[in-house]
Amino acid sequence: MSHEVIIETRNLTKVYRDFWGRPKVQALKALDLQVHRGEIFGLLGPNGSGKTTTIKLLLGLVFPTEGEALIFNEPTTNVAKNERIGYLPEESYLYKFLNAEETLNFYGRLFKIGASERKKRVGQLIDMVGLSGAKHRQLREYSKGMQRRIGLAQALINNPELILLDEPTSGLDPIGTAEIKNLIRELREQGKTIVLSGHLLADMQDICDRIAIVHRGELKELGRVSDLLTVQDVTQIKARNLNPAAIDEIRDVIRRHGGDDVTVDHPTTTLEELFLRIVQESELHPGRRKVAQDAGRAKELSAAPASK
Amino acid sequence: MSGLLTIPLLWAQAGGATAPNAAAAAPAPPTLNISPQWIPALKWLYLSGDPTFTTPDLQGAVLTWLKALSLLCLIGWIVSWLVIGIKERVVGQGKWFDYIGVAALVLTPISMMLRVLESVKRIPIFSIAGVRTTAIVFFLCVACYIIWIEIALARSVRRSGKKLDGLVIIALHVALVFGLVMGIVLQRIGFLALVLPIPPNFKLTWREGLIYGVRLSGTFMGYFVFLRVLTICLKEIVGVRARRLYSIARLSIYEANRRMWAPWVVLTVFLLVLAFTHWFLQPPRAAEMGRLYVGTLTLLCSILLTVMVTILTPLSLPTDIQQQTIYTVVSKPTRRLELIWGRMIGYMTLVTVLVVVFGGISLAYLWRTVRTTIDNTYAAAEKAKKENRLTEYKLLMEQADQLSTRMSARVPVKGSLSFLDSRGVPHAMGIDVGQDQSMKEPRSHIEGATPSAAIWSFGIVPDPFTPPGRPPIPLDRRIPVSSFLHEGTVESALDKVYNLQAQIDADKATKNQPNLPASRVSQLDASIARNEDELKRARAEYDTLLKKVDDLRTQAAKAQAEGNTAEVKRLREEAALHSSPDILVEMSFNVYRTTKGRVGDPVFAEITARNPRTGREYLGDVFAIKEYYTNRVKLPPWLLAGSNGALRVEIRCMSPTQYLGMAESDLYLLLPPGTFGWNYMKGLFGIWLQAMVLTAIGVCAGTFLSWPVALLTTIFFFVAGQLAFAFLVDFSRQAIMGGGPFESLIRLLTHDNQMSDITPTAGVVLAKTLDSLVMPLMSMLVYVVPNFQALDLSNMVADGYMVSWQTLGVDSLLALAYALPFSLLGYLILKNREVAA
Repeated sequence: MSHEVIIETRNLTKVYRDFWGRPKVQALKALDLQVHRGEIFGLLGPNGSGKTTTIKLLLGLVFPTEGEALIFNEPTTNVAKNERIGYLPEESYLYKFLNAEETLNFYGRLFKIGASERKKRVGQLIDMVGLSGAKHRQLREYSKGMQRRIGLAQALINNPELILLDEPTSGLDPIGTAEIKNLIRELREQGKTIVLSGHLLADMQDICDRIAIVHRGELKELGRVSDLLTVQDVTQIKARNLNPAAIDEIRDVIRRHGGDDVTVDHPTTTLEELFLRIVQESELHPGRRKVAQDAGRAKELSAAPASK
Repeated sequence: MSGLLTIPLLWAQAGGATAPNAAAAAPAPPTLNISPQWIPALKWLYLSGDPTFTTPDLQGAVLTWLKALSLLCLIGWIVSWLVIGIKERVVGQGKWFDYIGVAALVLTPISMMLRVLESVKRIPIFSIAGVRTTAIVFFLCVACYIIWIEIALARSVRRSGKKLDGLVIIALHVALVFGLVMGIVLQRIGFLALVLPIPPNFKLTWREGLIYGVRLSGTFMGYFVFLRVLTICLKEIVGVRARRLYSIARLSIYEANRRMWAPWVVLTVFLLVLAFTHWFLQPPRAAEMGRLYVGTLTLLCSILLTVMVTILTPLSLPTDIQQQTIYTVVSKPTRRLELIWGRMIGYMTLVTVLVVVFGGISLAYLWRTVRTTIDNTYAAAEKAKKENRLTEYKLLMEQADQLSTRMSARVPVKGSLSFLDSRGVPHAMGIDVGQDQSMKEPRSHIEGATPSAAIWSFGIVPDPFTPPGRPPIPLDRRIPVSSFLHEGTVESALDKVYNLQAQIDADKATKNQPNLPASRVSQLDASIARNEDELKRARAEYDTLLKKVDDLRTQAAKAQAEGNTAEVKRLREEAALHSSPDILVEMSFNVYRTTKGRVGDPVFAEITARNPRTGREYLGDVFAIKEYYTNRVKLPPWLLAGSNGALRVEIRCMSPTQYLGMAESDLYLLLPPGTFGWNYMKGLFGIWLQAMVLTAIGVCAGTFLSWPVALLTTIFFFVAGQLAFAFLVDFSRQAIMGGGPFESLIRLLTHDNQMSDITPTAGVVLAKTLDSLVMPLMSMLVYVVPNFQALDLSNMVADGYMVSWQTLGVDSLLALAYALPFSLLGYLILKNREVAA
């Protein structure tokens, strides 16, 4: 994994206004974050927290009210950068009157891919998402899970360097979810950078290297998943085959009584617990948010995520 | 732009200087205080600056288009920055300049109302220092607007941080100053007096200089904004890729086919209507059958295709945005312009396929109905002739001929029409009897049994409508002589003889000029010698051909005397091979009868034709005018020999007290006709062009409106451009009687006619005030609404005239002139809107 910054947002703010230009909702407040090449970065937050807005801002689908976002060090308004990006929206916003093959060919033609290469990729992707048997059916006949799969295929048609997945497992059954998670891991193995948003905590915990937790448009927590889940002020001693009578004498006694594999560590919570705690704190103290200070950012960079 | 500079301008307008009256135009002796070598540059400057000044050629048309686009860009640019400023809250926050803006809004209707009250004499006219108080209020109002706009623009652009737009603001001020200075300079050096149609003894002052300076400024400012828009668009255009256009076009076709079933619905309706057409179409006269059928079929194609694109195109992008499918497209490297053009190409591909299918089916249908009728009529005529029913034979032949004429593609060669009145004095127009007046082609009459005549002049002829005292504007109405005089014929040889002789004479005349350089003289000598040799050969060829034809005719006469019909036919055919065919002249005049005369008696006319270069004249017979039908006369081909495309055809009415009416297009020479089927397809191309403009409008409207509003907008543009364009033109020229929409409403309710003055009650004053606010905005529609009527070629096809490639070219340019700006406007809107907001 490299330290090269693929996505950077600086003071990224989005205020949705009504017809008369009056502020309706502040969807994002001064978001500062960086995503590095080769990592799986999770945007975590409850519904309406600004995850999808962040992705839309990164893609230039909406314009920032303040601040800026850079992808591959280029402004989001630069259309050419999209050659290297794949995007799966939160719903399958696809043309229902096309079949799977036509869909992938349509999106494939939008990229600089030769006809034979496109044909090959279309076949591969259809196989990969398991829609070979239904590739000639129009998408209107697809189930939600099938639509998600073809949506994922269209996001990968250009073999992108950066993949933005907005709630990729939404609507999928457990098997489908597991497949998608495996696929994301495979993509990471291929060196691709993946940004995914969602609120399915177990999924995020499983696959993300780093996560950002946003609530009401504010960045609340940002860091490596393993770091964030570590409870720093508690020491935990674990032992296997330990005699219950020796519990009182912690280290020496355990050894004296033949205990082995003694570990002394900080306990970890689950992402679910962390998430709920942050949201509750945010509800209690609105406006208090994590600000990436220069020093903090430097620290964060130096602690760039290692592969899990 | 600058409030400081605008004050003297407004002052200039307020002084009550009468605007030059074009109607009472008369030549003013131009006295230029500048070297004549500057005139071309100044003309260019003025031509490119004054929005209402143009030249009747392609350069003038392109410049007018650019000026209109530039002004629209200027207005659009200012309005868009103001809207951004208000939405971003950089103005409209209760600062001091916002109060000035509000004051301007309040003063506008007050100023208009005061003017109306003055004009209807409800209040006396007050003046301060020679300036009317209403004018002062108006200045105040405009000055307030300008101050607010200046501040709003500066703040909005500064906040956006767009440096190029900041530069545009500076450039606009430079253009403003330049325009004003040029206006004054042009007035001071007397150039304005040279180009403006001003009344005699009218002296232009610095006020006119300022007024025309503002017009120049407006256009020059527009050019800068146009350049800014062009830089944005060009950058986008360079990035457009065919593969993406193809992909989006293909998507549009799939969408139209699979989601809306549009082409299938349209095709089914077409076939259904066609199946029952013959039940309802009953021509008023048998000869009108072809016209009626062709007109109906083209109308049907036009309605179905325009309705299809009117519904399809405004639905496409709004649905894409509403259903969020656009997310997956714009997150790819798709340019916004590709979205617009790709959609347009997709829909136009559908239209093209449908035009070809409709054209094929229509032609098969016309062949089966009209062509069969023509054949049957000829057969019936022959039968009547055999049975010695000669009157019926003539009638049927006439019908069949008229039907055949309409089912052909005649190629008319038109001249320029002028008149002689009953005293033999030339005029541009004949007598107006109050009938058939249209702005497109004025119709006037000549009086019977007087020296009055209608003259069609061919060649390079002066425009009869050139204002007196002005140098005549030349019109190119030359006859393509080579199309009438076939190569290898007597007349063609004679033409060559005349032309060579004319060339020799011209060279000799040039040679006789004094102070000619020796090299030029030797060139001319060589040319004369060469042409004289050529002339001898041409004369010999002509004599040989003439002798041959004379011999053949003599032999034919001899054979006829001997009763050898087959030999007569052969000899005549052989003689015909060496002669060019007669020149067919078609005429369709109307008759205005001041006395009934004897019932059934026709009105008679006489045709004469003269070759103005050779002086040879053809005195034709007197012929009876066929009212509602076409008269045909044949002119001998030798008349065109040596004409160099010039001819003068005179028509006189021979019946006393009757009047013969004509317009310029009523008499023409006929070239060999083209193919009807091909011509019909050309007519459908006009519908294709209409569909292209509508597609551009629909897609453009879909970029910022929801689909129902976009649909209504597209329908509005089509109805306004197809049915109400002439009204809009009159409206913009303020030629509509009865006031604006509000005053007209009052007249409607109070049953007042359009001509009468209405009592200036409070309601009338209010209506006139509202009209004065609304009418300038409505007048601008004429520059935005496409002229769909101009693209309609169906009447030409139905009348049996060839649609020329030149007409198609001009129409294509016209359609592009509308479609391109609409598509670019759609791109600019889509570029600046948040598709996911």
